Amino acid sequence: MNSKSMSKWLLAGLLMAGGASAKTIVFGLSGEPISLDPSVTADGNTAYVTTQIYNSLISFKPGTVDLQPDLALRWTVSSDSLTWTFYLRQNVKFHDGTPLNAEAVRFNFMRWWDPSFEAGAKKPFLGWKNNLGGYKGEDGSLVKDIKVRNQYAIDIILDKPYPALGSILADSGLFGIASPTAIKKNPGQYGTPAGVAVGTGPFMLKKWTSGVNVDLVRNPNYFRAGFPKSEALLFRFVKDPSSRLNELLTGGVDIAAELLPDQLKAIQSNAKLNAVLRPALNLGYLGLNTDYKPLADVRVRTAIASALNKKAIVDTFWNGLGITDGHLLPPPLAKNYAKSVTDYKFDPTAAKKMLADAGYPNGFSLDLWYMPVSRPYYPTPKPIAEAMAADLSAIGIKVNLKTEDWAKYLSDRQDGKFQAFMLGFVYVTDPDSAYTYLIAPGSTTDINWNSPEANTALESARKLSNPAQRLPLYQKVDEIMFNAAVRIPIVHSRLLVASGAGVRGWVPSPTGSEKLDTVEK
Amino acid sequence: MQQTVPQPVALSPARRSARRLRRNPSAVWSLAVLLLIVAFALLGPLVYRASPETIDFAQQFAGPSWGHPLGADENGRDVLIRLMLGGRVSLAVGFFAVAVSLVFGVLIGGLSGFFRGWADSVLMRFTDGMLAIPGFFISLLALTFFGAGLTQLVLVIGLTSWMGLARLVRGEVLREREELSVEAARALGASELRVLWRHVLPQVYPTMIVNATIGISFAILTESALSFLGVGIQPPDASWGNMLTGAQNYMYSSPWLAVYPGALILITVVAFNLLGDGLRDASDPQGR
Repeated sequence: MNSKSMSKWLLAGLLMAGGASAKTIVFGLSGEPISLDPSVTADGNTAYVTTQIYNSLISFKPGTVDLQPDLALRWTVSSDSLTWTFYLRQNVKFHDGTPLNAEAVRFNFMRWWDPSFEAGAKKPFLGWKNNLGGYKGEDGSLVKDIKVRNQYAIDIILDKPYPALGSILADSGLFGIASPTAIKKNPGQYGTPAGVAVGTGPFMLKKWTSGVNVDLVRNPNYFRAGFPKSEALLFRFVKDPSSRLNELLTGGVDIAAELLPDQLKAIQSNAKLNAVLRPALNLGYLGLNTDYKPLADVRVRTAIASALNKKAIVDTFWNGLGITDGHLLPPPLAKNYAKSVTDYKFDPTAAKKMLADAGYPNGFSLDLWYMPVSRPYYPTPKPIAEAMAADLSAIGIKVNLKTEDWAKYLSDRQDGKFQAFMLGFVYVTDPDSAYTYLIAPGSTTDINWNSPEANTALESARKLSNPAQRLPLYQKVDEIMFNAAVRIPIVHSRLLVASGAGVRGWVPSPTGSEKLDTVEK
Repeated sequence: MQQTVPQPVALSPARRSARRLRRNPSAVWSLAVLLLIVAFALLGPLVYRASPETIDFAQQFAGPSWGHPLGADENGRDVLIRLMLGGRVSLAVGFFAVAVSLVFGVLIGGLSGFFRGWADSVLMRFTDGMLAIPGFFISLLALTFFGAGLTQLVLVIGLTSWMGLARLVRGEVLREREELSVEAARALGASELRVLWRHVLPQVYPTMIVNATIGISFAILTESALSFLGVGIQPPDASWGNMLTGAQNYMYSSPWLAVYPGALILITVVAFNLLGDGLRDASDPQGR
């Protein structure tokens, strides 16, 4: 044996020794999944694990909310926008070796949609009702029928056009396709720590130790060749954010989810750690109720928007995680922004003049309600509200800050009892769902405002099956909302996550969970 | 040979109590601390003239400096002046809420003990009823319903904390009304109300004072708790309780924001309690 081959062997040995420990990625979650059965409503922690085990028909391109094929290689929408046909990838097998085909997909959809279906969901699946209107037999159900077209094609037939269906199905924390054989074997135990969870995803469930961790191993037959990059994936439950950061520092976890904005500096000052900002898929806004006389005048509302020093407020209270602009839709949906819209110009002098023009040279008094709880879009509502109040008092508006119990806050807001209020939304992946929530008839009781023009645009967009054709309509709505200033966009907040030394290939998704098949270290 | 024996001086009960109180170091210190805190809250803002509501983001979480001796809060506002003005609010709530509870406690306890009979039954069943409801939740409910504010806080805390005092006063009055002095007053033709007012109630003063002192600390704590939960003093006005609420989000990065109001609440409450204990010991007729 010459010295050259000797060193080759040594090198190989070193690589193997180094590789063995590096092949498991440890992920620090804030808590335990509720269930690994995709027919049980998912929370953030559940979605993280189920995303690894299951695939959906459609998924999002990494780091965006743009659609890409997953189990369905392609999909078409009929000219009346009512029939969606999904053409499935062939030769895909579940972890238990059974084949994925249209029958298996239908089985999963029927479980979610039809409460009386065999091996049906243990409880009605709220994720379905919240996104698709209702269950089979209910009036609100958007889905009319689910039909197998052939072995690898399935039709979802809708009651009325629903352009957001693609984005909804792409949220794999919700609509992962599970093995019918595995579910039928023991429906009661499926997805619990005592049972199994069988999908087509990059990782297979090895063991779920309740209260401690979920242990996943590589799926050698994953349809995406060469993936996953790591041999195993271990989800550990570390409840406290500061413990998660400590574990990241000491190497107890490779990736830490859900960190706090004020931990950003600690992470950035450590060369080994990598702070990652999850793209902002949320909105924090200031709602103005036109029922209150001064706010009925658009000049007053625009004056308020121009009096708020949004940039200073966002820089101060979001620690660099916030983005402020004039759009209600978050940046991942930027294609739908109108070119004419940027942001309200901070100009107290002009704002004061607008107030005077509207007949309020001496201002007026305004009740501003701030949330009693912290949300990603408003991490610290009280001091933010105080800052807004100070900005408004500079143009003569006397602000009374108010708050109340969260449940009552939400219902009073909806009943239109507030003059001005802080609120927001999270994880809306499609402009149609966002605008349905913000301005559709029936959802504006809080601001007592209605724009026939905007709603006509939304209605027309709903009937267009080609996503590109919808864009000009949504851009128009963006402009209408900016000019109306009934919901003043304050912030889109990025969420802080972090990875430890040597972790590569991690692309956090705006939706809050992503496949980890590309991650290695 | 005549010896001058020092005669024991007969002191009035009030003076005897005052002397006993002076010999109780913890009570004396408490009183001194309380005077300091009252001076801090009432006189402080006259000397230290900073604005409690001027927001300056550049100063967010700033440490102590000449401009801000105790630093600045999450909105870059001066912490010292907010502690002083917050102290006014907390102390005001303490004093006035106790005043309300004294009025009700003495009125209901006094009438009930003095007149006995059906009046006693009705008033005491009412008191029992009030006692059976957790006061804090009533306060929460009432403030949610009537809206938050200083006046509402005072009324709500006062009206949910008079029951203990009413029972004590009733007990004392029941005992005192059988005393010889009271009988004598009656025999001399004093009206019932005059007897109650001039001869019975003064005997109850020590109980009232002790109860009021401890009641103040209870009221300050309740104000803090209610403001902490967001139904008390509303921002941007400061109270120690809502300063604590604001600080809880920054416990890791700027813990001192919570320490200042927390320490002031703690010190004030402990001082009022020790003073109350001292007063009770001092007014105890069996005490030496």
